[in-house]
Amino acid sequence: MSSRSKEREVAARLARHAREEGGEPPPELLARLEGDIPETISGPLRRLEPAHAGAGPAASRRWLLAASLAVMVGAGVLAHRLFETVPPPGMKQPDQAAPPAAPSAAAWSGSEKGAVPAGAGPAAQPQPPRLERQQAAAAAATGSSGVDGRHFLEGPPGGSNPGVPAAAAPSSPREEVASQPVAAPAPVKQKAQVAAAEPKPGRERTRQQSAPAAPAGGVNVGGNEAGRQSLYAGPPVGQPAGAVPAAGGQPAAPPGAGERKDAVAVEQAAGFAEAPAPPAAPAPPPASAPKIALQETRRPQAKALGAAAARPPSAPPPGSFASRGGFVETAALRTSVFGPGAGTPSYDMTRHFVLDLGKLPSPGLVRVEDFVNALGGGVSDTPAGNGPGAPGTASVRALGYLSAGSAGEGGHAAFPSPRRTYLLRFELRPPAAPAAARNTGNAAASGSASPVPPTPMSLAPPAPRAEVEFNPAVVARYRVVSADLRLGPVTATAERPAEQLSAAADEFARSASVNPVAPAAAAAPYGGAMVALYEVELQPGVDPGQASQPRPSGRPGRPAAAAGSASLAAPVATLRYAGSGGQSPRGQDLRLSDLRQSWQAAPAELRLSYLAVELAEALGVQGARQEHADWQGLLRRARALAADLPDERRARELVRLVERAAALAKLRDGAGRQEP
Amino acid sequence: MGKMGVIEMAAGSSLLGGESRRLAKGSEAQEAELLAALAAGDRAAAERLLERTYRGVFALLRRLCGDSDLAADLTQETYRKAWTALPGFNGQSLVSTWLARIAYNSYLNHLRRPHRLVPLEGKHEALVRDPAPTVDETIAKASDADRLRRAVVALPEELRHTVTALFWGERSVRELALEEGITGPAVRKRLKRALQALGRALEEGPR
Repeated sequence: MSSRSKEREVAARLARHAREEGGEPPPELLARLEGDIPETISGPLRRLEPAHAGAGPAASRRWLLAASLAVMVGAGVLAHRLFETVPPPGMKQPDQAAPPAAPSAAAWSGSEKGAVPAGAGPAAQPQPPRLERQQAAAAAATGSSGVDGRHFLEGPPGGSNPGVPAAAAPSSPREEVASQPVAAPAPVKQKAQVAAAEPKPGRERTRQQSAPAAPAGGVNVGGNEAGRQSLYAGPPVGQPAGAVPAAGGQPAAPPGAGERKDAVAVEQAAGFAEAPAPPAAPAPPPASAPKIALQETRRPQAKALGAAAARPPSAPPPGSFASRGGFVETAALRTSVFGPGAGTPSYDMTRHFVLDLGKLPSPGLVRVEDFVNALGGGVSDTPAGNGPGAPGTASVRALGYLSAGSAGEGGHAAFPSPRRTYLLRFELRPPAAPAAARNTGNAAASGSASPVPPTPMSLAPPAPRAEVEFNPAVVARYRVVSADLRLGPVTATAERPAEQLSAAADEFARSASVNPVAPAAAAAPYGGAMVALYEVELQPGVDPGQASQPRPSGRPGRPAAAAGSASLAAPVATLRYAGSGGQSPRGQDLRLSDLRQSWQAAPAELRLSYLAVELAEALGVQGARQEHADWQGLLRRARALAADLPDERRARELVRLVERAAALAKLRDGAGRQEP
Repeated sequence: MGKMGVIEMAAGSSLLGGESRRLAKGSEAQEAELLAALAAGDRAAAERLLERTYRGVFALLRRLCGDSDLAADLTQETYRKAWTALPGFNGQSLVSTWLARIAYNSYLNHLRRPHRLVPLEGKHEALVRDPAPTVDETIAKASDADRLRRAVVALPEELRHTVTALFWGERSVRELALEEGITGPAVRKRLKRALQALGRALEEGPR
């Protein structure tokens, strides 16, 4: 008999025994049992649940299950946070994708022209992140020449400069020219990293070699030769850098410039021997060699956040845009170039994350340029400022921004800065793309129909270029707002001594001076509007609200006669661009009279552009502390703007985006999430 | 028997047991209400609980010991213990399961209990004659049921409890698994080992 059949037989016997031996209890048994029931019944002391009847696991196993669930939930939360913190492969964090990100700010701020020699080297640039590759693809599809401003700095197609060495590549994206001298010790939280990069064949299209530099003779569209020379004209070959005199006609540095720790020592970088050294600098730079001081700023850590929470509200929060510096002394560099808005992938991705997926994007995904391009460009409303905004023309509009302390009624403290700053917006609407280009998808849709005759499509579109020349008599300092300031101050280190930095700066200056690019103002590209936002600080005593009557003679190249006496007609800045069809370069002034004194008085498209920047900041671009984001204020301003622009789709979309993002941020902050 | 599995045999071992199991499953909510009334000190609830469960307890003990009188006594002992231990009932099993475990332990205690009857001397043996068969006689003439019962009692505790609970205690594999704190497959493995051991014991004949 097999084992199985034997088991079955035994089981059958057991079952038969149960049937036969069960039987009915004796009749008197129940009475006996009832008699044994005590008079007072003490029932179960524990709480009994109806589902207790064998439905759940044992108590010990319940604890085991609970512990397992807790571990799983914890792991899930950790993975989620890691996913939000660490971008997916190919999408690097801003502080990790240093080389690709660094040139961006260089394109948007003219100050980076001086920083280029030590700030970016293609030899040290890794593969660009996926986002930028997407942007590049988008730019190629639209016929634009570049993804962001750094491409704009590249020279005309085919231009090369084999003699330019690859400059030192900063290891961090937040590197910018700093006011600290080369010998200044690095702060505790700052790690100076300037790596020497050797030139590599085939990758010679560096920003240095192709940067729009004026020759030593002073080729400059605006005739602003001094400013050009201050940037690019380094000491002549064979001549000591210290022997280069200060640019003639340059106004002296405004008082108090040394107190601005975020000021850019472009003059030092370019060999200004008489550049005023910041008083706070621990060690003055040697006068024998030009200096370029690069200093990396790291994202504030959580510990610093805790300290920041206790600061007074007027102080700019650490990591915020206001605290990141990036101001450029107009006396040192009066011209800033900006490129076309070629792509919006970051904004598209953020919109998908927030509106479709219901989650906040990783801060590394947010790019200010894309937000401005997507929301701020090509908005049409009632003409304001001094530009009609027609395609092919420049739309120059300005917002008078008063700082937090003097904002007054209706003021909007965009940047909590103790200084009085204004926000300027420049927009260059490109000429309408030819029909053939539109049909082939080689041009992006323009904001509005163009009365300008279509320009014949060219396989090699002219290099898009526009520049903003600030009047040093009116503007003391400026900085770009509509782009990530990935270039932070970088200082010299033991690995990258000051002499090496100076040598790189010299080499760049020489190479730039002998490789002049085309006039800075060139044709605007096909595609979307070119929008740039600047924050400017006026010279002491210059107040648009108290300026004298207009004087027709005010030009950017002329210094102010006296502080405070600038007329309303005095230009604050001039936007230079090239007209379509090979027309001569044009210029359009932004005057003091164009500055508005309140947020409500600002043109709608300027408000929308700035709100795009503010949204990007709130979403944590460049490590801005999201805890400091004023979601309610942003939402209030966005709704007000949408009310002013009832027909503007982007304004409505901005409101929806802010509403959802604010809710998600509140949910996140309520869960006690802290950014690592 | 057909191709019925051993578990199905255990489930259908007793019509009374299967019926009571279905009733018990269908009245879990009523049992919860009953326990709630007991917790409140309701004596009528105790009577209702007794009426619902005493047949199953008696049947289990009857199958274990094979004696109706002894089963009745053990049933009474079981409920006395139950009333005393009722405040400690944690509700993680059915009341019937809890009572069956008490009954099973009572039976084991009965087996371990020392014999209180002192054998009479041989000179009095002829005078006092117990009409009931002695234990040796009972074993000697053990029927199949007795052999089976003795074989079950001779099993190790975990196997014995598995067999008695599943076949004679009207409990399911899941209930037994929850009671023992093991998984269902572990219960089935125990049952398989128990059946194999019983098969060997029954083949060897009465010891």
